[in-house]
Amino acid sequence: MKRFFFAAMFYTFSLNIFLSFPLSACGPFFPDYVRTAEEISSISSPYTYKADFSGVSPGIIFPSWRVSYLYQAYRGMTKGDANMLVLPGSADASAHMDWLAARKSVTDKPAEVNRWAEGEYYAYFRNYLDDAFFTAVNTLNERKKVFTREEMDIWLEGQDEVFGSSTGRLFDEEFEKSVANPLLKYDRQYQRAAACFYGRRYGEAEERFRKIAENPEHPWKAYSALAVGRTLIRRANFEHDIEFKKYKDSKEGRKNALKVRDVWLKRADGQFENVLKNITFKSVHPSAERLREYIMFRLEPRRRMLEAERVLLSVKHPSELGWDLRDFSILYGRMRLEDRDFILEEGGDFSQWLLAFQDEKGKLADFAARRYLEKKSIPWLIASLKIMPADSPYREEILKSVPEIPESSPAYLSVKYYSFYYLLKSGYDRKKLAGELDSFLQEIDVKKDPAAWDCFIGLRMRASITIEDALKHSLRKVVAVSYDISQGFPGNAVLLDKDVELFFNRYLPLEKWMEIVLRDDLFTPAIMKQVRFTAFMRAILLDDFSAAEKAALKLSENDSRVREDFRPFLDSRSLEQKSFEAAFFILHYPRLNVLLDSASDEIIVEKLSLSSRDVYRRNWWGTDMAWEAAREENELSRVEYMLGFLPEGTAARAVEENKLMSAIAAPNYLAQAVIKYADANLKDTRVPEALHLAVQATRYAGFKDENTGGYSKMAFQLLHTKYPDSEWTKKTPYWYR
Amino acid sequence: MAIALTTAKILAEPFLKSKQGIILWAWERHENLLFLKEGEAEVAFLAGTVVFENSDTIFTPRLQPLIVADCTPLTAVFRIENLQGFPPSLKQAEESADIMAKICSRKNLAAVQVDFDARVSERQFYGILLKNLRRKLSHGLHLYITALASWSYKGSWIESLPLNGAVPMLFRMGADGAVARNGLAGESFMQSLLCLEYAGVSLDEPLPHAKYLRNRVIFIFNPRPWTRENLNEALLKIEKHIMEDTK
Repeated sequence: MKRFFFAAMFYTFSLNIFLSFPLSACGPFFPDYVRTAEEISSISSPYTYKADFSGVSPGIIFPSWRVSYLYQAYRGMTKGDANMLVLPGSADASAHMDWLAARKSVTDKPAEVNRWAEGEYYAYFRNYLDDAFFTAVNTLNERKKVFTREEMDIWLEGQDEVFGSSTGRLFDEEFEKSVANPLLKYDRQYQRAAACFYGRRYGEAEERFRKIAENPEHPWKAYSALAVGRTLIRRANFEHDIEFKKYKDSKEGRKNALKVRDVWLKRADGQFENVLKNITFKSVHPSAERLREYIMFRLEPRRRMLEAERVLLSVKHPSELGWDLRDFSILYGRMRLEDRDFILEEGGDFSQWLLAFQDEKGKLADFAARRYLEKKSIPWLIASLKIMPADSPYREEILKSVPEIPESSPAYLSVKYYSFYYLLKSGYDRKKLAGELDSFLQEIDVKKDPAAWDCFIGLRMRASITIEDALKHSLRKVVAVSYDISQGFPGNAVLLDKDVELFFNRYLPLEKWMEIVLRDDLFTPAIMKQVRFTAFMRAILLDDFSAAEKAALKLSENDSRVREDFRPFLDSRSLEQKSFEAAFFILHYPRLNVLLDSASDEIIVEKLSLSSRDVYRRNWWGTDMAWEAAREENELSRVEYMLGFLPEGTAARAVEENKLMSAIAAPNYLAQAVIKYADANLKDTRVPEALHLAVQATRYAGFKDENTGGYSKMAFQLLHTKYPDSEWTKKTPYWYR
Repeated sequence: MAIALTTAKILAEPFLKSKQGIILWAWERHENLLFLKEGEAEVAFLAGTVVFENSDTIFTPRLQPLIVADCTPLTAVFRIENLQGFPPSLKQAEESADIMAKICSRKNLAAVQVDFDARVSERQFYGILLKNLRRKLSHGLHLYITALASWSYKGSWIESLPLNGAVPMLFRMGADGAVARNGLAGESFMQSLLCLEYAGVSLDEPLPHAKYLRNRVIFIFNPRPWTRENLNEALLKIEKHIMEDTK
């Protein structure tokens, strides 16, 4: 019975009001393959893409990381600590099961435990924390050694009442007289107080716990002394809610409710202070200290933040951290938004560094630079490089420090990254920068740290001065899959940089696509295949059969099935025939696309077949191109620098081509081509199949317009009137509006 | 035939000029909706999540407060997630219905909504769960579900379920989003008897075509906490969308 079951209470909603995140409604969510520096730098947990993250191996650090990870990185850089990270503990879902299992060793009588209790405002809270069950298990095991069978049954019955059963005799005074064993009597006194506590009869619980605490002989006296304070904390939240309800205006209600809460919290604090003064309560001093921190968090958040930070900066082992990292993270987050001056004036080195590193507007640039030059503390060098303006008076001194950071330093990659980032941002000679980055990229082990490699190669691409050079640096390792991190790391997948995809989609006219299609030296075979199919689709929609043939020939080179399927298209001579053959081919490859997008990324990474229909209807270039274009409008600034690579007027041609393509609804286009051909070639044995597929496309294509239903009907009627006995007719019982 | 199950439909003066009922989905976060004027909107709040895993039924109730005026009609929403890789069992159907009914018995509710994106293989289970829940809920408490858009077609499989209504969720639809935005989902879309009176939208996506919203009770999902300002903005956006399309 050494564990105290009122260890910490962090499940009441009053804490959670500080935490507010956007929520997602239900899916479908498609995989988003993270690989650009911009995406990587916006992720809040390095563990999403870096399995070996630690103080000595943090990779490139980003301001978007949660405070706990930045703390780990800071400790690594300042003290060389390998791992100071304490991940927030989660509730042990099996703790109550442990209790039920232990209980079963004494009795076969069934029991249930509901860990949740209904609070105010339609919310529940964890009434029984894990330690309550652990303590119960330990006590049960101890008592089994000393109690008789009957005494054990009585003890268990009492404990069941503590855990919510309403059928016991814990409060039956007559029955109590029959209990003879003094230890059992003590236990039952404590059980009664605990039952009141969990039953939210706080006044009675306090009274009972006080009485036990005042009894020097009582084995539960120390725990009860602490439990008085715990009861007052719960009372504080309880009274808060009651007070809040009295007001119609929620601001006034909140203000007054907090006043009421704080009175109770102060009483609780006084109780813990008394506990700490009493040496006979030594066994619960750590818990009392922690509960005082809980109260200080609410009553004096600034003080608590500073105290927590002091611990963060001084502890030598993560086990000494307790709740300090968590409290600091929450309070720093609040102060950063509400009271930056407080951090700048009174914060410690870590909180001030965080503020500077996360300073998006660069207002603290001089502050960070001065701090670095004064202390030569590496985190400050990184912060300076991150936020320093091009014309900073500290520029030369700061840049001079970069080569001084040894490769063995945990900060090495970050210093390098932000120094290159700074040079690029501040107009450094691109050619020179490209050369320096090329040399540096030789040093990076892409297998060990693909995210860092992606970030550096992303900078290298931005330092390019020709499109050829940019494309040579456009491949990225996929470092994470964002829709579901439980999928794990994505192996060795390689994709094009998203900015390059955007550039291709928006600013490359067909002629430029074709230049790429004909090359074999640029991308991986899987990416080239996707690029070629996309170019083929674009060529078909733009009526450039010559370009489409070239793409088809390249695609046929190494794929016998594709070669076979393309043969009719390549062999046909008339435009009408070609148009039909193209449509017939496309109808057999529903996943063909006119864009390089997340759907085509998925095809590459998951090695999906282009000839299998997508259940989410991303079929037959199932994209509303006009809508996609509007959605991407904000992202275009990222690729504007690449426009300089193109001859004048080239991008404008691409824009015109996109306009033409976005007016074409896939199922209409395909049905039209098939119907036109069918009218003149009824004897072609492939026509029934083509009509069937055209009707299917009007159902399964992702993008349709108001004419799609009409085409569906036309194809359907033609099929049913001209080929009533065909197997394809039987497979086509409906047309689709 | 679906029955109008919320009072929003019969409010004397609905907030939208288009005289449509509004129900705000309040998900698992601290939500203070005291700013709602009487009759302005109802609230459908996440009351808990049932997860099926390794043949166990795990329930997590709402942990964040929902602060609403007493006059605001409330719907308890239960999210269901099946993580066990096979359809839940009859036992799990019974257990989950039991949990939901118990939670509902303690609240002053107008309705209960179940939110489960059931796969085809889970439909039978879902039907049994809803029958169990219907049986256990107190008399007069309406039961409805959220529906994938594909369930909203006339003659949909959901029509045999013991429900008062189903709310088609016209968001996160993937490629079909374009079809819904452009009003091209076919004549029987949104015409399932259970779906005739409802539509669900999300504020972080373009609205579906106005014809799928007009004369329906609109459920609104907000990825951020509700405030007076973002509610006004949302109502204005929906109003404008419906009115413009009417012209």
